[in-house]
Amino acid sequence: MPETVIIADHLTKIFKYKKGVLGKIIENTAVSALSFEVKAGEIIAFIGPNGGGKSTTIKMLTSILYPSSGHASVLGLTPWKNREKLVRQIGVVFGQKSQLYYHLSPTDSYTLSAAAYNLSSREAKARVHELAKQFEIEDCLNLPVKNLSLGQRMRCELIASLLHRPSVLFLDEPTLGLDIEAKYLFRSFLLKQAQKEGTTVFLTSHDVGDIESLCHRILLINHGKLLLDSDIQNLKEKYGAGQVLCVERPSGKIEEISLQTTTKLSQLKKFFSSQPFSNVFVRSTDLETIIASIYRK
Amino acid sequence: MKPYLLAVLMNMRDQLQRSREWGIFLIRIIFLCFMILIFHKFWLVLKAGETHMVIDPVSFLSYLTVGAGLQFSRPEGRVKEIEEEVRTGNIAYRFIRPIHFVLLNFCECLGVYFARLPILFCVGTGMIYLLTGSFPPINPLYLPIVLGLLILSACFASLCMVFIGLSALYFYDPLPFFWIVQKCEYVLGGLFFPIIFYPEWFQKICLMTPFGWTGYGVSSLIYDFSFDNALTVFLHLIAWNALLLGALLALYKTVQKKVCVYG
Repeated sequence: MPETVIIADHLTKIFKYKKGVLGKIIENTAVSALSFEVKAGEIIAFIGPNGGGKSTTIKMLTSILYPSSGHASVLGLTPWKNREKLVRQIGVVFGQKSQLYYHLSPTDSYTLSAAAYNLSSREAKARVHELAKQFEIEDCLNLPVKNLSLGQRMRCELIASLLHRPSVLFLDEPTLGLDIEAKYLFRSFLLKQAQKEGTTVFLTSHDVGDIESLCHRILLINHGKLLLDSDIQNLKEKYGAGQVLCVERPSGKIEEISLQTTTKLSQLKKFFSSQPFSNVFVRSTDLETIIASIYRK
Repeated sequence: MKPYLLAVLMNMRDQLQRSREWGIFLIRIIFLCFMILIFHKFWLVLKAGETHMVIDPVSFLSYLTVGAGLQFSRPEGRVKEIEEEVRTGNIAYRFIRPIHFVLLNFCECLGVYFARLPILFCVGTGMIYLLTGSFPPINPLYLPIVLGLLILSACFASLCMVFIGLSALYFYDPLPFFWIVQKCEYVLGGLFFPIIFYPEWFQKICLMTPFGWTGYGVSSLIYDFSFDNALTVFLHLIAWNALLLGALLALYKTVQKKVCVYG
């Protein structure tokens, strides 16, 4: 049985704002008693609508934020108490924030990080070369970070986060703003790395493509609370019922009916006989539709 | 210690390689030359009206070169960068690196000092030679000791900058504190005039502050070197550096706990 590498136990974060100099304190609960576990080697999609509490949770798990209450453990360490120990064993990428040194080249950033991770310069060079080759980014390593395009920078960020072969990788919207080609590269590279090195990946993304192509399991939160914890196949079966029957009317309009186990024959008869049709086909319910319907609920 | 040494070296290299940095630095070099020239003329006028001077022009200009060299080597932009990181909460993203934020910034500042100081000293010494026909009146054998103390002085200035930057946790705009520190360095540190020109009571005040030691204490060794003086300056610099480092680490700990980054 694989060991549990991430534990969140009633994790809560309340942000407090003061309205005016002497005004009363307003509280905003970003994460509320969140509990879940992640096993080693799992690739988890941690999803939810904007403001749902995803990033706040990641920040607590990576020692950036102190929780208001509750407990968390990553690789057996309490993030906010064992920050220095923990950051040597995890990798973190925030899509909206660069971890690289802005005025230095990625190579310089890697050299600094490698020294901090106690990698020998030979080992570090070999690792950077290996990762850069896989990521097709070798030409950009000596340019200042500020001169890189978003796609190039994100790939460099990922290399920086994988340099020390972390056991757990936290990715917060890593494909934000990337084009299709860059996203594809990013996903295939990440999958290869995770499989090769058994890295546990904790991913938040609004891109369903990321989730479908990488993740085994979904944790869905909203208003700081866990709404769903399911593997993707189960989710599709439970919420999407797997199939959608599509009927193309002579006007070209396509009408759909979800095929549930409870769908009655009379319903189908009515659906077909209501208007003439020119074509009939069946398609699987896509994950995006399922997730959107759960958000709405 | 390796990443911190690398940070010093990388920043030194950056200072010497980047044309933008050279642009800023060239203006400072020109200003130093201009300052030495003005003070030389000024000294000549003073000398013409007085029969006895406390220090000779070469000593005075050497003193000025050391003090101004320290001032003009300072990477003051770093204060604003740190301040912005604290104010926006972006500093929180630095916590996930296994590199200590305070030490890294301190080393980056030192790297800039190490790149700029030697150049400014060489230029200043050249100017003094051009104007007076003499070199600074220090035995070259004692120069490494003065350089070591200068590094301690640069350490204090670097810690000061990181401290002011981090104090953005409490003050929306801590830059005025930086200006106050700068003015203290000018006056209490005796940047333009050695504090021996001040009344005795004010000299005592100057030496009760760190600026009296980081400025006058180090710079005066260039014309009045003795091992006793050097040891006194060394002990004071160590004490003030230790005090500031302690306060800085305490402030950083508070920043780590209190800094907030939303969403």
